[in-house]
Amino acid sequence: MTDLNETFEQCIKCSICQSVCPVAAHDAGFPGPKILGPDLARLQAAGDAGKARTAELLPLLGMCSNCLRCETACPFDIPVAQLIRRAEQSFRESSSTGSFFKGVFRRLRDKMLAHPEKLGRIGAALAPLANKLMGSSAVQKLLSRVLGLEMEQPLNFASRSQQRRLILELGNSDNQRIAQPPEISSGSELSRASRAPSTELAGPVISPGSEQDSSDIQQADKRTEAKSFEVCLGGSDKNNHEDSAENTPRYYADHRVENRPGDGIKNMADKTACTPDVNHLRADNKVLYFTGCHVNFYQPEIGTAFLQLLKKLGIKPVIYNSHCCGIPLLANGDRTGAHRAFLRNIQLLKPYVDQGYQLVCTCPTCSLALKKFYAEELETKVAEQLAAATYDYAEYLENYICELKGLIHPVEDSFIFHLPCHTQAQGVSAANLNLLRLIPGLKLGIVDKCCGQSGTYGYKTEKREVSRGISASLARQIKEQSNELDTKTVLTPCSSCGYRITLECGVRAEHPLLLIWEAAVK
Amino acid sequence: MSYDVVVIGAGLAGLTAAIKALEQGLKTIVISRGASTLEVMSGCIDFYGGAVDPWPGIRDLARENPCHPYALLEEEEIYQALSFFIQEVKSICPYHHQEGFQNYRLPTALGQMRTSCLLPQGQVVAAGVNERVLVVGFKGYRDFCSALMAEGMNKKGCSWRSIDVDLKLIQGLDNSPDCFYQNSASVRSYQNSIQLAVCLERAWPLLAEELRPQVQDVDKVAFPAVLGLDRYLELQQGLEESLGKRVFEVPNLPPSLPGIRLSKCLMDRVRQLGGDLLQGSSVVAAEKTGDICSKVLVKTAGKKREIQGKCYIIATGRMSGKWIALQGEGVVAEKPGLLKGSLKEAGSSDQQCPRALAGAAEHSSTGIKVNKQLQPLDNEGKILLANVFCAGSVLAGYDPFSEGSGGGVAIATGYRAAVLAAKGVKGQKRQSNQQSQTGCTCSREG
Repeated sequence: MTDLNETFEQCIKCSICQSVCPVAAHDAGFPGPKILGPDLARLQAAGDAGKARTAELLPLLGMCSNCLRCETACPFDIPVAQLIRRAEQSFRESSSTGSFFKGVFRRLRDKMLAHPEKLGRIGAALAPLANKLMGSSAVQKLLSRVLGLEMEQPLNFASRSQQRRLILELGNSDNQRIAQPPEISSGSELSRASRAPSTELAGPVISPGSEQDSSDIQQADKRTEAKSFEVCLGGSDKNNHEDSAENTPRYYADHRVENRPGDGIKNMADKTACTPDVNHLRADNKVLYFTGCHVNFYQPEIGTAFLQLLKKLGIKPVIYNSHCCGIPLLANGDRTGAHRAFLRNIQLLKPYVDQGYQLVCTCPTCSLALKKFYAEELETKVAEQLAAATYDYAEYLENYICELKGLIHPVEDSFIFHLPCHTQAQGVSAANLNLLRLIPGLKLGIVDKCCGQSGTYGYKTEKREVSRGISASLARQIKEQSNELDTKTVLTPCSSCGYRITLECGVRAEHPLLLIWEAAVK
Repeated sequence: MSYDVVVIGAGLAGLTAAIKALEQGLKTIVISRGASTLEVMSGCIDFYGGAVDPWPGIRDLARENPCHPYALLEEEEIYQALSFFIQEVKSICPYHHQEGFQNYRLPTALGQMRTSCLLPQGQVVAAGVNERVLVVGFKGYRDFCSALMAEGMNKKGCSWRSIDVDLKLIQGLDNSPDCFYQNSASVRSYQNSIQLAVCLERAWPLLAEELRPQVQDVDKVAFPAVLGLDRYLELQQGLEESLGKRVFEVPNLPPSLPGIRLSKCLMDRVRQLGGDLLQGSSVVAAEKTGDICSKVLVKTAGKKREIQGKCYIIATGRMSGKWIALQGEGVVAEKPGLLKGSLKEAGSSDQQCPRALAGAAEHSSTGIKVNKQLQPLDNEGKILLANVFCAGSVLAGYDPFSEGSGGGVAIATGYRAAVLAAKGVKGQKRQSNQQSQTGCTCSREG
């Protein structure tokens, strides 16, 4: 861990962070990342000499939307956003007194936004009613006035039955399909695949000259099939999920699946003599899928698509859908709560990482949390260990490019790809694009601008103007591109960006995995 | 990830190289530590400062100093590279030049004259001005002083006037989502160029209205370079039509809008051609086998990622890119250790390049020694890495600042590096086709 105080000394005030900051461009009252980051840190380090100016700047810290564009743009590796976050936390801790009426409601709202998991559970339980209520403009107005909550693009909870479908998809139904021996499963799936070079995808391969081995593998497959899709739930949530997954074999975090070497894909890789560029990841196929709140409570179909894609590739992930990554807590100022959430996840995930599992996320904020925020906040070795084992879905699938090529069929269509800030901050935007470029016939336009939603930022009344201003400049770019490409669909890996884009431009926004999955099953 | 060409550095040289590589059909990625350095530049591109005709100066540099990057290039090639660059940016960020790439003379924000060769649309009107000009500043915007510029020019015998417009005028639009939003914090002197530019994209008619009575007796109107971020062409045109006068921008302190527009334009072009950009990731290590660099490791959140390339173009700039760093007293080290032995270290005696070591310019001409093929050389003059090409100010033997040659060297060597990389990649492809008859090589064509 580098000392933060050393990092800000690298700042030469080039102002590049100011120029990329979406909030600074749209809010004249916001001093910008350079002033709130390195400059403020310097002032604070100066002690009494910097006190007056520091006091002036501290109340403005909460206006940062934590998009991390400043860190991506900084040519001197200065963790600008981290400096801002640190200053904000110390400010909040020292100023958490005084409770007037408005403050109470705002705190209530922040609390609500900080706990997407709880919100999601309640919402999902009451899905039809909750969705209807949120859709009504009267309720939206009420929420805006009383709570300071902007819900113009209402939350759309997935119903319990939709959630159950996801879990079933992961559970028994899939198992059965996998358990079919290759001869039987030579239905539509296999025959379609047979047009492609890698016909072996539908099941384990019997490689010529090694009959003994391959039958062993089949046996092994049968032995592990009951466990192959494991739903891993945190102990504390045992009761909440009891009813939703009656048919699903459930294991808790302390159970671990024994992955057999030689499962499907590795074998297949030998067979097709496909030589991917980076092979070390796929050696034993140990994957844990960190679903995140969005998949859990709003769009389970993203999770389903990802899991089915993995299944096609012969990968059997352990599923972790028990807890929120904790970033909403951090973004809403509950540092203690956030750390608790981080530690809980680390505790549950560490045993898997120790065994060599890769943690894969489909939400860019979840993966960035595991890769970056945990380590920055907790400053522990374990957090770093977790960070090194975490992959964005596209980064992970990069290792299966050969297989995917064989699976994917042409899609003659155009799309706009929106690169979310948190995908950029991980340096995986190229991986995201390369994955889509596998689809023949696909035309892609790229937009690379903050959407202004920034998770929970855009839901707050006091941030509304700035947030909508940022959105408007993205919307202009999207409209230009959509006219040029004649398309009405935006692909974005971040679902919260997707909501904002739909609200602002009236176009459909979907997760790229849904398209990839569509191209792979067609 | 595997690419044909891996470009390290997203400045003028790196982006030019990437675009040229992509146009030759190579799969390309640009890795940069952060945003492009162009963002702090004025947007003007210089080849050789000082004289109106730069070419004799360029020939002199090449003759006097055989290590100078211009000495490695043919004049014809420089012309070619410049034309290529102008063509590439034409539709989004148009650049202008004079016949035979002669230098323009134009005023600076301090009221002095300077020369430059390629000018962006917004600045070309400024060239050769000696007419009556109104310089417009903004009250509360600290990065431009209109009176200073007018005074400087008046000392040269011009008749310029200055005026400062109140920012409140254009902030009257706070209901529009596009404009400044003023929250409880009072408007302070925080306004930076970007905020102003974004605001003006919408509020410029108000500004035009305010200025109309003031511009009757002038020929041209000068503004600090804040006339729009994305829609600056429309904005300039709108202002000109509304005022009935020619309008130009004067580059000022960073963040610099003309530079940002150019960097956006080049990066968009890279993406449009199917190239990838990896921003915010520095190259921390490299692996080599013999004289071939096989992969580089970049630092991303949580872990280091491998990026493989058939060829590499190093266009990292000098100290500011931190690829080259000062250690102790004047010792130069290159971070990833890829080019050990190739750096022309400051203070070492090198009789061939006396200019490079002259006095104060010692560090400003420190860089990587290369051959005509832009491949890095070791101390004995042998090729250190055959699939690595260097471009831009990372090259040794010249001082872009005192010579005013930064832009020209960047574009010309970037262009050449990409041409050489294409030859290299094609050569490698031929070799590998001959060698490997077995197995599917998982290439994009397959």
